[in-house]
Amino acid sequence: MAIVAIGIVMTMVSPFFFQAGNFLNVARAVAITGIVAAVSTPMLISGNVDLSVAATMGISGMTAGALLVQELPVPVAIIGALIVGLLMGLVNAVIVVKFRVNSLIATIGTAFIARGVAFLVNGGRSIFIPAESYVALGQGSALGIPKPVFYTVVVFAVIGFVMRYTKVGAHIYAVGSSPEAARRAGISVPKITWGVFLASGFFSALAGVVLTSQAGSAFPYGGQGRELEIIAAVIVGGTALTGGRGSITGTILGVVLLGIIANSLNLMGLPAPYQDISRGLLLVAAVATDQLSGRTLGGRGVFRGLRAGTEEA
Amino acid sequence: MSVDKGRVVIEGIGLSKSYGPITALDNVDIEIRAGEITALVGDNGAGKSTLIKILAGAVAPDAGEVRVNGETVVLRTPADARDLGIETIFQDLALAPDRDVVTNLFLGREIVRKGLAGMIGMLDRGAMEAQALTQIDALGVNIPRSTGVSIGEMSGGQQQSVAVARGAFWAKTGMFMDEPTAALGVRESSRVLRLARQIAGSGVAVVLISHILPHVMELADRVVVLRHGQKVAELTEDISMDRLVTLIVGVDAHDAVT
Repeated sequence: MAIVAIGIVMTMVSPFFFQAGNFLNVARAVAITGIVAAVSTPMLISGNVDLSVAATMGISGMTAGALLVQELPVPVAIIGALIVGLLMGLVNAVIVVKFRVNSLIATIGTAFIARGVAFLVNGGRSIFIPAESYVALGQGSALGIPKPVFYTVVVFAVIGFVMRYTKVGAHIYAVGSSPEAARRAGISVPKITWGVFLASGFFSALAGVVLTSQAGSAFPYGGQGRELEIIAAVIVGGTALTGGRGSITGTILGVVLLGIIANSLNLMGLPAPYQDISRGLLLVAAVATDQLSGRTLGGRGVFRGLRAGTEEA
Repeated sequence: MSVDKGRVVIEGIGLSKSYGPITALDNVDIEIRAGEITALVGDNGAGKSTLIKILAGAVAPDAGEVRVNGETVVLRTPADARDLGIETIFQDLALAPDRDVVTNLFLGREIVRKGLAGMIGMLDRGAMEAQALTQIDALGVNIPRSTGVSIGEMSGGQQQSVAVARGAFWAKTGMFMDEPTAALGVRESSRVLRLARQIAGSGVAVVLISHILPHVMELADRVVVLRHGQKVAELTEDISMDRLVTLIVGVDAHDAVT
């Protein structure tokens, strides 16, 4: 409903808003954030949070860039980047599962480390990517939609399917809802935690690959600052930071809503700081509305009405 | 109801357990029979919960053995006991509050679809819903039949009814209830206890730990009294309040041993 309201207002303000071309602009702008928001949804539902996603994008992008500069084949560079992502997930999971460190703290720590390493890879300089076939992966269109958007749709579909229709998804919800109840029911809480962190590392690295191929260069600061934007989108979409509740459908709406707001402000000619301000206001308003209306309606967030009945996996 | 009524299905023989210098359970023998409600009573620290936990696979005994249907078994985890059809209901709720009844009933034991879809772990939500609703109707449990209502939105009694319904659904051999009504009001308690009776009626061996002696006298076919880790009495008739209290606190220990 919030999307419809903004849509109507924007169509009046700018006739350009309500055009297919502009919707593709929105989609293109949120594509990379979307990939990570998709995988951050099961992360939050499981009761954990991963703040190292943006640093993983950076370090995996730099890995791909460094391998491509060595003239290694494109698949090797991509696999290398994804392995770095999985390693990030592995390290996070070890810290959270074995050392029982709160995931928020653990991933702030690994985010700093990964970002530092990303700067060391090429002495703090970005890497120009020479391989045209790599760059082509993130540019142009497939089946009429921009390639990054295509990847994002696939990632949302896969994660959405797992969360809603599979045993693994049901166990992620259960672990986030009550780790003790899940444990007593024979569900391995550590296994689920391992799984969500490995997935988070993997898909964040994938986002890093898409980001660098889109840009044609790898930047050590690639993705920097996006982690909060990503978590904001997931929470605006109704996923509970405390775990147990949320949905991919909600996250898609959250990502799109934040994208539309940014796009609208662009069309109105307002500069970037206003986007940050509006993002902040939306996040606080969404969660505050939710608190005031109580937890009894099942769903959370500004899309509660829309998501009624779609939330159960 | 069952032809098996009275048959010993779960046995503990010479069970002992110490925690450091404290003896929680001292050479206890117990026989639990199908179709009966066996009440386990005793003061705090008498060993009731330790005994139940050993039989449910949650605690390993220092000595003694457990037999299920006449065969000696080693219960390493609660999952081992569950595989033998033994379920435990706890006083604190072992349910996922954000999930609905169907999901909770099948928590950790979800039904997956047949064939390829099942190999990737695709849930058979339809089958789970159908079986869950059948179970709820069979037990006459007063909980919302609509799916999609999360457990956390229900009353404490309804939540415990879901936990009991889940136990009953999976319990083929025995169901242990450790203070199942501790968190409930009077009416809600009686609903849960009526369920216990019903489940025993279906041929399952029910073990009830309760401090509430009127409940015990009303429901139990057999009362086992523990004191300081030892079994001091097993009663099947003449179960009066006075007698139970005397046995539990051991005021007149000489007369109490039957």
